[in-house]
Amino acid sequence: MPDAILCEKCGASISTRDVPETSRQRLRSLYVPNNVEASSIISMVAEADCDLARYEEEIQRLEAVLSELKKQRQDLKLHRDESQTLLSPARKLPVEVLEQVFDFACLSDFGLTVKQKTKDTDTVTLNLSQVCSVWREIIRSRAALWSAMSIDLSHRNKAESVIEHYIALSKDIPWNLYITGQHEALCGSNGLMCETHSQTLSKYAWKLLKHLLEYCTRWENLTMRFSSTVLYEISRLDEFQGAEFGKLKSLELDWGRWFDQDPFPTSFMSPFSEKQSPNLRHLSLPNFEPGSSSTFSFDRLTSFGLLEGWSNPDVLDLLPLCRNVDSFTILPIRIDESEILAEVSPPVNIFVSSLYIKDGDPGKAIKFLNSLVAPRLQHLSIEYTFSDEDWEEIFIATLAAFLHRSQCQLQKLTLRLHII
Amino acid sequence: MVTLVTSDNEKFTADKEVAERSVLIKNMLEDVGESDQPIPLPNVSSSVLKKVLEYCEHHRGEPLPAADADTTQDDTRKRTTDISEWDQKFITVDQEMLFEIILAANYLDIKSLLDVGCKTVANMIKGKTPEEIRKLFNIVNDFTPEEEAQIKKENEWAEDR
Repeated sequence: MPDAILCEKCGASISTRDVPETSRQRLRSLYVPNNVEASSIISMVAEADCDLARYEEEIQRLEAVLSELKKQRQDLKLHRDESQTLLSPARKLPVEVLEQVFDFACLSDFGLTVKQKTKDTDTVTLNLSQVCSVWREIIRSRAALWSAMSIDLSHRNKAESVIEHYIALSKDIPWNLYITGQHEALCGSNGLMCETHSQTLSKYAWKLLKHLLEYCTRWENLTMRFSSTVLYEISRLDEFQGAEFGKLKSLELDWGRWFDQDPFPTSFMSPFSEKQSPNLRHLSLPNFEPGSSSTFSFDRLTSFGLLEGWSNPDVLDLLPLCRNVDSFTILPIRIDESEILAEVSPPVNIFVSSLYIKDGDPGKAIKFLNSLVAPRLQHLSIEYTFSDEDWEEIFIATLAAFLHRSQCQLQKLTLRLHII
Repeated sequence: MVTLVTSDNEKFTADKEVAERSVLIKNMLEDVGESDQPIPLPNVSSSVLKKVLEYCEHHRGEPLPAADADTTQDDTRKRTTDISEWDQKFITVDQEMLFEIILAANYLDIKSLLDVGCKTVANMIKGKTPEEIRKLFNIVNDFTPEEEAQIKKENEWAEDR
């Protein structure tokens, strides 16, 4: 056997000898070596031990060389990657542009979205702060990026520490907060499975809600999606009733009216009075019942939305209260068909510049338009799906009459009408 | 017409209305008054300027953001990363070109184009882990052991996922 070259770099080699083959047959027989043979075997074993020691030594040396080579390879790879990173197009972006990218990434939705399952939980801002040291420094210094949170209170993971992390880094920046309870799949009246809000909250969820309420002075945009039962329970919390929402500008509520026939808890709106929420200007509710909001001053609102329609009494009773509302969004539902074409005399004057009518009951939408005059209207957007062409024809005629009656300087009209 | 000279010395002519979508060019034209002098753009290469002019041509006549546009807190609070269909097609370029367009938009002060670029990068980032983002943009993990320990702690909540 030729000499084995161990390493061209170090030049070391080891000379190997032919290993005499042990006769298997002898092993498998009753053969016993005689004295001469035994002496030869003892000598061979001694030489083999000596060679084995050399092998061991060489292998250890080679392993050390291999380890060193691996380390050198790793260092070179790191150096190469780091050098290549210097050429990365992303590095060319100045800080002010990177900040804009981060703003879009973290504030278009929420910088933190806590869902029921950990795997669905999205920590955009945290992730970006863990990419590299430059990004980390920028992101951790921008408190606004940590101030937009969507939290499902019924989450079953250890998100409280990550929520605390966001709260700490948002410093004193006002929050954009979306809170909801557990959603449940229910069978709707049409037989289809739909999501609705849970009727209860867990002990942990209440604790977390109370903790968030400790920061109520920082809530700026608040969206709450709970069942009316849970909203009622919330309205009974001392922490809620006594809360001062000094910075709150926008409030959007959804209590799952479609499947939840309980009345809206009147007391829920108390903390959103002018005294406790002096800056509230934007309100969006699923529906409206005057009794539920009798203490609420609508005249301070500049935008108002009824996103699931309204029930009796008619929304027309409410509109005169919204003297300063500039943008009004409505999704009309539920009406007795006999009332649809009944004239409202005189029509109600509203002074909005933007009106958005979303998909709902076409009859209600027709009645709504029939009842209005909007002389300051500039932007009108209507999205509708009709079940038959007759409705569409009546709707178009009503719309034309409304615009003619209003004598407004319409700048933008968006119509998305579909017939199914 | 306005003549623009790129960093690689290529000349482009564009309608004044199109070129003036760049606030930088608009200000330069106002400063020099009526002149046939070409405008040097040492920070923009010809391949990038071609794309930028394509964008400006498509958006010709659209209202420009007001010079004193609100840059206060409200401006940074609510953002949408929606991009129109045409803009989306326009910005579907390789990463090198995408960042060059962003840099050019920043230099030339074309806010709407800068927004399209930044939104595109933001959309690439969203939903990705730090490691995936590093790989995407060829960024190395340069954290110190102390920072690594801190990051590990920040991620403890998700260890059972």
